[in-house]
Amino acid sequence: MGVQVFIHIANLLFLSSYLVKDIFLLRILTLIAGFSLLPYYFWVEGGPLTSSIFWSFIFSSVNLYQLYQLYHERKPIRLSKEQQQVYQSLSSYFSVLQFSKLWQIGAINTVAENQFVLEKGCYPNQIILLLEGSLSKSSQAFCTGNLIGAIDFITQQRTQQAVQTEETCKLMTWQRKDLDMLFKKDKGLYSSWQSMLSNALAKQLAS
Amino acid sequence: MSSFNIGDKIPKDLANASVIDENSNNLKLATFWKEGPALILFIRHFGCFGCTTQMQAIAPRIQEIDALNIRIYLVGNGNPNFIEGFKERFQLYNQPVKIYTDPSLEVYKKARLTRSKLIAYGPTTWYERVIAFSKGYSNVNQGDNGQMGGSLLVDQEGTIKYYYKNKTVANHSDPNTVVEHIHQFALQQKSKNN
Repeated sequence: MGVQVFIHIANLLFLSSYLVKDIFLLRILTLIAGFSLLPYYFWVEGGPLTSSIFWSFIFSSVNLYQLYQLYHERKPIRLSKEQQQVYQSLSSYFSVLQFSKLWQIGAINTVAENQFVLEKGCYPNQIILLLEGSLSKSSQAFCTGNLIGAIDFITQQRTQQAVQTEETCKLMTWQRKDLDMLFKKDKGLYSSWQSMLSNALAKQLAS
Repeated sequence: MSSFNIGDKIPKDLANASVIDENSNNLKLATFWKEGPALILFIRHFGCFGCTTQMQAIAPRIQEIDALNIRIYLVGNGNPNFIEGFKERFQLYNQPVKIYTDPSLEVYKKARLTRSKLIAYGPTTWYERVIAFSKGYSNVNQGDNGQMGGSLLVDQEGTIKYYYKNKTVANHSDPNTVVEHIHQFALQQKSKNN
C-alpha cells in the first residue's frame, strides 16, 4: 500500500467532515485531512508535487483563519465587576459579545463636579453614557436618557448646549470614528446601538 | 422620471392610487400618512423568498419604529386572501403593522418601482434563491413575480423623507438606514414642535 495509505486516511477524514453539521468540527477535520495528504504529496513517485503542496497550504491557511474567527466568536466572555456594572444598564440592547466590543473602544473617565462634559458649539465627535453621578439641571434637558450628545450625534450638527456636571460623574465615552469603524464591520451591533438611541429618542418625544 | 428624491412631494397620482385590504376594501394610499408619518414597505407577492428576506430584516425593528410614532404599512401584490397567511407566517397579529395589497400593480408603477421578468429570472435571483433556500425560506408564487419592492417614508404633509427601490428580488432597504432617516426625521419634527 505504501504512500497510498495517506490518501485513504485523508479521504476518510474528508468523509467524516462531510458527515458533521458543526462548522467548527468540519473545519478541524478538513484541516487535519489536508495535512494528512502532505506525506503523499512529498513521497509519491515523481514527487514532491509542489503545486498540490502549495494549494494545500492555501486551503489550510484559510481554514486556520476561519477557525480562529469562530473560536473568538464562540468563546464565553467573562465580564469584570466594573464591566458587569455597566452592562446592567445596557443589557436590554446589547449581547455580552456586542458589549465587550463596545467596551474595547470606549473609555471610562471620571469628571469632577461643575465641569463641562460637552462644550457648546463643538462638532459632535463623541457620545457619552452617564454611568454614575448627575448633571446640572439645565444640562439634563439636553440629554437623552443617560446618553449625552446623542441628538447631536444623530444630526451631526454642532452641539446646541454645553453639558455640565453637578457632582462627580463617571462616564463612558465613545469616539465617532471608532464607532463608525466598528459599525461598518458589525451591522448587528449597529442595529442594537440604533435601538438604544431610538428608545432614548422615543422617551424624549413622549415627554 | 425613474425615481423620487428626498424632499419631493408625493405625486397626486400616487397619493390617489388605491390599495385593498384583506376584506377587499379600497383605500387611497394618501390615507396612510393622513394622521402621521408613515413607512410604506412594498413587498412583492406574499409567498416569495424576497418578501421573507425583507420581512426577516425589518421585523425586529417594527416595535422600535412604532415607538418613534411612525406608522408601518406593508403593501404586497398578491390576492387579498393571501394576507392572512402572510400575517400568520411572520406573526404579525399583535404587531403595529397594517397589510394591504395591489394586484393591479398601479401603486407600484406610480411609486416608480422596478418591474422586470429579466431580474426575476436572472442569475442574481438564482444566486439569491440558493442563499434563501439554505436559510429555509420557501417560495410560492402568490402574485406578480416580476414586480420588485421598495420602501417609502412619508411625513404627514406627503413629503418623501426616504425612498428606496429594490434592485433585485431579495434586495431591500437596509433597516439601519431606514432607522437613521427616521431618527433624523423625528428630530426635525421635535425641533419644529418646539
